[in-house]
Amino acid sequence: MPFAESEPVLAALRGTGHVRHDPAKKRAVVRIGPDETGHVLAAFPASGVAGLGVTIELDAWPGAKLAPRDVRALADAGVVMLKVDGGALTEHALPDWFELGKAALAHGLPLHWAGGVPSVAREHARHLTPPRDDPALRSSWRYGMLAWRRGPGFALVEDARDSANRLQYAMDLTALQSLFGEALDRHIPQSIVDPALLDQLVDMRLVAQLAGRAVWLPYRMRRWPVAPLA
Amino acid sequence: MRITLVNMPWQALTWPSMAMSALDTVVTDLGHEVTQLYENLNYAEHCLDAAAGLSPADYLAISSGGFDYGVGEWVFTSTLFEPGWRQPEFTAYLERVGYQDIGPAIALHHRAPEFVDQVVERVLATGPDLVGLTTTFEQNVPSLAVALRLKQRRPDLPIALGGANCDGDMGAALHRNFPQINFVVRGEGERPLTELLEAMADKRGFESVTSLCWRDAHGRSVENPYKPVGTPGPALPIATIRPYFDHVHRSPARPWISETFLRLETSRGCWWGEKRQCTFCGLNGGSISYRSKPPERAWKEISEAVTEFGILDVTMTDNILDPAYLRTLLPQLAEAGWDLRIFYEVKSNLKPDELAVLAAAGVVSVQPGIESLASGPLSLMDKGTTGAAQVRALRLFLEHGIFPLWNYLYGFPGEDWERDYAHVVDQIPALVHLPPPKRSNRLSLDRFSPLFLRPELGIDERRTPAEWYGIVYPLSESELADIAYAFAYTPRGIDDLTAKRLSDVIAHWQRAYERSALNYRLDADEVLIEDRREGWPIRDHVLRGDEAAIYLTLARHLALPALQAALRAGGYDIDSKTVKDLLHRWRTLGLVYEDDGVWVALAVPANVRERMSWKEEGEIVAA
Repeated sequence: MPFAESEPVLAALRGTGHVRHDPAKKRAVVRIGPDETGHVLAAFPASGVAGLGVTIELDAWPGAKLAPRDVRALADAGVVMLKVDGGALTEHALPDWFELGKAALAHGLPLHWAGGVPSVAREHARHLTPPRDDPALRSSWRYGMLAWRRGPGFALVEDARDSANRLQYAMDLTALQSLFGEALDRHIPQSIVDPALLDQLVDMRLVAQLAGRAVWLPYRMRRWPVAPLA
Repeated sequence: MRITLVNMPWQALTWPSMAMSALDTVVTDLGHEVTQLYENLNYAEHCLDAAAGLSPADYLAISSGGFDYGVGEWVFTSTLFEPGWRQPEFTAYLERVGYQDIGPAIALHHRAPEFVDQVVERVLATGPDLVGLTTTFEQNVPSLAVALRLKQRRPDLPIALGGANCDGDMGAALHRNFPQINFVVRGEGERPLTELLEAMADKRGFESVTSLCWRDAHGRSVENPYKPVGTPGPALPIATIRPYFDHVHRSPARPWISETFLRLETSRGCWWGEKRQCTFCGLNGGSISYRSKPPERAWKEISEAVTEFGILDVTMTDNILDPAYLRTLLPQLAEAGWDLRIFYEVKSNLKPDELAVLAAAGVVSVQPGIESLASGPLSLMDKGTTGAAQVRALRLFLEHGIFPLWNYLYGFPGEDWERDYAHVVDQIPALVHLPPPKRSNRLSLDRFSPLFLRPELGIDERRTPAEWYGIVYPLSESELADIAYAFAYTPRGIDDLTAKRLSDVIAHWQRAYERSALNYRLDADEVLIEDRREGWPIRDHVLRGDEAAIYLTLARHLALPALQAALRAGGYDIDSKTVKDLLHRWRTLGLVYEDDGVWVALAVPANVRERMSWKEEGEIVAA
């Protein structure tokens, strides 16, 4: 029978931080602090979360940080939810926050968070998972509002933020990767981007300038929770 | 030679015409000059008339919902015959069958002559030596109308008609009754069209062209013997689809076309149908033998089209996926790392590892031919599967993130409510976490299907065309019977009132699906099943030891003896009464599905389901 033993996973997780375990529900909530991400990830064996429903809770942002590759690792391990009880985000923390939000959607890791989005970033953040306590953002949010898909040599950007005027662009993927990394999940100093190109991307509302960084806004979309091509 | 291919309404606006795309390649390779005219797109643009209260949405309504009632055909009778052609009779018919959009259909009917004149101008502007009109579903009358007006303007211009509506007797009848058509190309077009062009160049006689209908020196219809020749897999053409994208991207109707797709084919025919054709299926016409493109050729075509057009959504015209592609084409697509969304028709009995291959390649949507969840009707339709196997298929598709498109079919001769439906309707509330059917339908009696061809299967009355054919065409009953694809018949099996019980419970399924989950977790020796289905109490079931072993063994669909054998093989020796009692208790709790003594587990692995559970409005479903 394909059972997995969760006890070794639990034991390893207990060593990384505070773990609340509900054996009846086979669920565990792991609260991690700054710099503990690596330990948590190392706690998962090849079988991932085994039979557990694991939720990762981060200390208030920007305490514990998760890079996009960490989010992917958690998703691949089978973690079912990422929770952040953050306060108001500072402008300085915004670029990392955007990459976290993009990664959670890209890798299919549900993100629950509470906190405020600074006014400077609200318009840019409409496509990311909204905070629990922001009805305005929550009411307008749709999965897939601003996303990109990888094609041969191009990034297909689909912008449905304005439902009455859905836009689609096929963009030079190599050029974008040279700026924002292989997975377009890396923010960069805006000073290193060609000003004309930066202006163009900002005009298209595909890049935000936050805390002196250029942030590529679309997340990669590879999951289709509702019937596609129907 | 200059050849102009014309695609009239009412083909979908979202993708290229496979008929024109394939034949363009063939004819171009022969050295001819080809123009493709997407007159379906032009007609959607013609509908842009706010003053008349029309928009391309009216085109889409008829294109997607009019075929069953011949609406698109009747619209163009104003040109083929006369404006107002049998209008009171046809509108009375539409009212009787409950068709909703009669007003726009009438408005479009009266505007059709003006549009057809425009089509004629565009065709003649290409300076054609031959015009080819392609007809599938509702394209007969629009094509015949254009042919009529073209002949009035250029009596010497040869006009050929081809497409699925011309297969077999249908093509011959169209040729007999509509003298504006010089040639009807029947069956797959590659070979007969090539031979026709040779005949037009005096390199052979028309009587030698495969399956062709042509006219003698006196204009009389001559029908060559119908010998459908399937184009071999390696010779299936690479589709020439650029003309569609050139047109659609500059079309004023583009805002009404939500998405555009690459429309490609990697095979023709049906390998299952070669063995045992599903009794209701007439899709393959006269060419059911299965042929697929060599995988390296299919890969080249897909990858080049994706690259050239910058489109990642691909819908395949194939009637069934080539299983060999699971080891060739599909892994290659996965390896490319592109974020494709691919639609394929498949057989429903795919194994979990095969589904993983599909998902990795980007196949997100399939038409698996589920049709029913009871073995009785599945046997009557010669589907080669069972009700429990179909439920298992739904569960596996969900587990792999592949959405199955399916309809629940009923009305098979010999079916019985109590034996074939009552237990399904009783158990559907337990299935609401699995992908629901799009609708339930009484089966359609279509030409070429075994039910049409073999009266001994239970529909044995004289073949009478669907009612609308007799209104649209002023032809004798026997000619109509040769032209028609869809036929009327006295309903068999369950009656409409009883069928409503099925459609009602399916409507509940559709509403409940996005809000339902039945997940399980495995840990130590326990199975925890969390029931969060709409209509069921929120509760968790913990199965331990033997119970856990039985439930997990039912990941496959098994009859009791096979289940016990599998358990014994796994080291569990459980007496049959215990197993039976447990199965019946689980059925009451909606944890398993049973049909014809075969059982299957319904819960899906928790993490898969939870992480796929976004709802569109942004709520994340907590399990």
